[in-house]
Amino acid sequence: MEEIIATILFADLMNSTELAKNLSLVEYDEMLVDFQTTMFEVVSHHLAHYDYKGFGIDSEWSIVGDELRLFLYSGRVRFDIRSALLISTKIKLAWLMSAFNQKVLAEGRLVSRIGVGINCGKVIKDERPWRGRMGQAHPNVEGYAINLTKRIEAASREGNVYQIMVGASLYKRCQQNNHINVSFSEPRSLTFKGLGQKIPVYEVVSFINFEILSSLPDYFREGLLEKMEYTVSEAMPEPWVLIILLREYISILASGRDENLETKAIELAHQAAEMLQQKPVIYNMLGWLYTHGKRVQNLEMAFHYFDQSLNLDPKNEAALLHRARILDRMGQVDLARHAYEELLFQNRGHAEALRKVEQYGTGYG
Amino acid sequence: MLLAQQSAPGLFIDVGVIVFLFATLIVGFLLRRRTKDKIKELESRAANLEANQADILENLDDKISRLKEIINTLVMKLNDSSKKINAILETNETIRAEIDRKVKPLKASLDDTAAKFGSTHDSMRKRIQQSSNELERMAQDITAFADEIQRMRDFIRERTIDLEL
Repeated sequence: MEEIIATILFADLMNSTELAKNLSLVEYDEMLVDFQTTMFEVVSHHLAHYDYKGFGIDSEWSIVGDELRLFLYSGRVRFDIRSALLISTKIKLAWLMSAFNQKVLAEGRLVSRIGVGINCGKVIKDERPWRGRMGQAHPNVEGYAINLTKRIEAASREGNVYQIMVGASLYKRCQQNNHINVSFSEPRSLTFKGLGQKIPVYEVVSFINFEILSSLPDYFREGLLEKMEYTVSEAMPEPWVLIILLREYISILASGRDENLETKAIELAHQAAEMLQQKPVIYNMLGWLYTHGKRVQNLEMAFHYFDQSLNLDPKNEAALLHRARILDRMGQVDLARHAYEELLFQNRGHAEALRKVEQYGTGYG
Repeated sequence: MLLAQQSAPGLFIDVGVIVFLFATLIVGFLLRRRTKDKIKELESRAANLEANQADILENLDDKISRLKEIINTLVMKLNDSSKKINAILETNETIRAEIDRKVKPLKASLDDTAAKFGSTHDSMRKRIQQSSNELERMAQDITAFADEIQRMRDFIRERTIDLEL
């Protein structure tokens, strides 16, 4: 028996009971097969891609009906959290692009969505004798954090962006480190049946990670960009897809694969800025496009968008950094130094800011 | 009268026959004389030849004698040479045996060296082949490494962008 920190993920089909009512038994089963296959392909590929051993060593997972359960306990909590966020986004994306949902989308109906709950906490890892007798000799995890995560997942129906809900424990860990670019909504205090007290939950409102697409199985990636573009051009686009698509456009532009995307990316970013409540990340993307674009480069516009981002989120490190860089490029030394000093105020260990301030000769430290 | 009685053509024929007979007699006489002279000359030559033959035979005997002496001398010299050659051959045989005796270990050593060289050559060839394979493998590794570095560079670039948005 061992006490460990596990990152727990529950995901299931939203409104599956309603779907079961409206579909014939065979149609419902076909949908379930599509869902389960999609979950299996994405999760198994992800775990293999990131060197999880499975079999209760550092992870375990299962699919039962319309529910996916995943427990990650590699000993690197930050890595597990990042993996859980990646898997959440990837299963949502893969399900949206599945044959079932593409058919629904083509008919102009509401697509079937996946709700996700993630949390991390202490659990007991142990081998149960009865499991061994069932031929499942590997250890598994049990604990209150698992029950809590299941409740958090149930709250995902109330979300309106990613519909990925996280508990306070995971939220705090993400806030403590700046290696995962994830933003959360304001906390919602929810009373869960059987828990007897209000529990804060947070919805993921932006998750920037280039690996969402690059770590998908190859056959999922085939034609994925076109499908995503089609999805966001529909009357009821999924807002979180806009962020993933924009991030992919930026990857393509940064690698120099297609410069023609610049205008398209800016148009999409404006569309996203109108739709999403979490605007700083979109303004940062617009700022990035105007800073690094070859055809649309405009430092004044870039500065404007980073400034907009800072108006909404004054502690936004990315916007502070880009603003300082632009001022430096413009030759506004005093303003640039001031901007870097502002960044150091937020993050005293920021390497680039420290180096720049030292160059300017202030001896900041 | 007789002559006068005879016709003119008959006279001419008689005269012609008489002239012919005289001419034949004269020619016969001359031929006989000439034949006699020839016989005399031949007899004289035969006598000379006999005298010369005796001289020639006498000279020939001398020459043969001298030739015999020369041949004898040559035979003696040949015998000497033969002895010398035999002696040389015997010496050569000794030398050859000695050379053989001395060369034998050298030859064995050379054979051994040749075998060793052959073996070394094979080994070298194998090593060169191995080195060639190793180089090829290293080239592949370097290419893979370059690809890996490129992937890492891409990863770092993308990761940086992630954190700067």
